[in-house]
Amino acid sequence: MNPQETLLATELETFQSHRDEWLRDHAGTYVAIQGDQTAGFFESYAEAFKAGLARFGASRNFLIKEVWQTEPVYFVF
Amino acid sequence: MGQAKVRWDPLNRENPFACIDVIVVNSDVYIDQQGELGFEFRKPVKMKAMLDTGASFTVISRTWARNCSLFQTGPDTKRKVLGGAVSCGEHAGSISFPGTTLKLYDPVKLVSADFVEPNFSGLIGIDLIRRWRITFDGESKLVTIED
Repeated sequence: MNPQETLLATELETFQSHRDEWLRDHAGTYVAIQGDQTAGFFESYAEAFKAGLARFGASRNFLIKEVWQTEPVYFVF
Repeated sequence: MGQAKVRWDPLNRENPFACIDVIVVNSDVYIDQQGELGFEFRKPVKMKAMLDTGASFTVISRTWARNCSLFQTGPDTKRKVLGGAVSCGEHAGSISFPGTTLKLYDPVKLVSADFVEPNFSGLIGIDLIRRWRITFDGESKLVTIED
């Protein structure tokens, strides 16, 4: 695997394994994840990013995901 | 209220795009933390981005994202685009509009993708456009943006 394929793979697994649980109380919010740890749930991407930096620091990437059952579909025309 | 004026000639065959100058760098909160650790960042570079009401998010070229060393908050995933799908990463950064009084957005989510367009290096998507009031005067070929 190249580095791009493995980047944030653990964090994605954490998100997938908790998605159903988080959907019950945090649907539509943003969660910041590093490894199997979260920095909490937030109303905006910006808040989640700031909280992620405060919790995890800037030395390693962390994942920010919107808590939805299905991934939003984005378009570029 | 901030304002920008952008020249747009949709009938110009070589460059029929409405583009605005932008500067993308890492978010201030990230730079502050890295600065404390002794990291140095490249000087910001001004690039062109096209106003694109058909893009649901703001996109910058992957090369540009790498040059800025943008902090990545989402792995490369396939996104639908006209004619197929491209691999896009997600980053946290800051976007400002030099030469205008439009406010900067920091931090904001930026998507990176491969670009083959010579006239611009990014797309300003609906995530930012929805915060603006945009009018186009066809006679003077001027787009006015207000926030």
